[in-house]
Amino acid sequence: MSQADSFQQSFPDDSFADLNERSALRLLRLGLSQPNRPIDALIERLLAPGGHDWFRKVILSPTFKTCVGDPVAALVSGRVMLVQLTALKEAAKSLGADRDRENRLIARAAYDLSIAAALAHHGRIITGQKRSEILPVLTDLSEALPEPWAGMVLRATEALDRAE
Amino acid sequence: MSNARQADVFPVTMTDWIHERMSLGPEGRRQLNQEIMARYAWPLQVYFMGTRDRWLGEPTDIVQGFFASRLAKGDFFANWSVSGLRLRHWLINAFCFYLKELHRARRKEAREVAQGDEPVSAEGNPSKAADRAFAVSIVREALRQAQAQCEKEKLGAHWDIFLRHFYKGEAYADFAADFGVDAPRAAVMARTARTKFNAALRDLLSREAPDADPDAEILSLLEGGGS
Repeated sequence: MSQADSFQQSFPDDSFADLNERSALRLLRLGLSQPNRPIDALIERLLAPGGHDWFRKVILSPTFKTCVGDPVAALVSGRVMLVQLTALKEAAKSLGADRDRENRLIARAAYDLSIAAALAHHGRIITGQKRSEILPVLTDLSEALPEPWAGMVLRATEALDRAE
Repeated sequence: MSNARQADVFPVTMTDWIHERMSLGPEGRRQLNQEIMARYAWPLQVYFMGTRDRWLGEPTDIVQGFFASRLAKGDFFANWSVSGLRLRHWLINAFCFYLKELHRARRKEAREVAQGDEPVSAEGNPSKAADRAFAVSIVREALRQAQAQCEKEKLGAHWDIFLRHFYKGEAYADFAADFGVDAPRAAVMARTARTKFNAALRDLLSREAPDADPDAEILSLLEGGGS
């Protein structure tokens, strides 16, 4: 095959060929980053390459194990007491002030998962945040997490309306 | 998002991306060329159509010839990385040189006299037109990548809803029932696909220059400057 043939064959395909300039600029605008919330750093880490593998290591870290033991049994399956989840949330708040970025990400995961598990398994809100603040955070987090964690957080959002 | 945070989360730079492909040998080089063509073929064709050199040939043929001539050069990307230019502007510079070469070749062949007497005038600013075409091209490529990612992750319905709303401009309430969901659920599903699209778009834009900030690149393209 000649070099010219090679370039001819690898020329780009024509999918989305009907995309016009106006629509392209509208879609381009979607790519602008949104004002940062604390959860966004964690979501970006989860969505980055290898993010789910990173998460599976994170939940085995001492922060989780000390407070709730087996994190899957506790947080996903619900074999956990409310007081343990509150302890996990408080431990996360302490770790959240750490200078190390990795530790702050672990803290964020522990904080939001403790809130989600309290909602999903006990129907209780263990934070002072408003429901309107909790809902988008947990919804976005559930989209970034691997299963079965995503399902647990999604159940938490469903429990939010009737939670105390 | 700040540039520093972006670098934290997506450490792959344009240079890393090129080096990674180059280290894979001929197959990596082929992939690299294909990715470059997917993104820049259309902007270069638009640029060509805005020049006085349109008589040189069909835009598709001219741009293919350019890629075949330049992308085969071993030092092409190394020279770009030290130029400080955005990749599309580096390609346009190289494309201008290529057109001059074609000019000379045609002159030598003594076939250009008839056409050369009546050059086509430039219309508007071909560089700006190429930047606008680049915006379309990069969005198109991000759509392709996000679609592939959604298909791979079995998020076909999420992707279709995203297209209906963000690509075709339909309201969720008007089509959500087609997918067996209500409008709020459709919005959540679209957001999942939108996340894939955003990630693809920002990743592509981060490769436009060695220290590219995707937000700055987007704002530049939206303002139509691109410089």
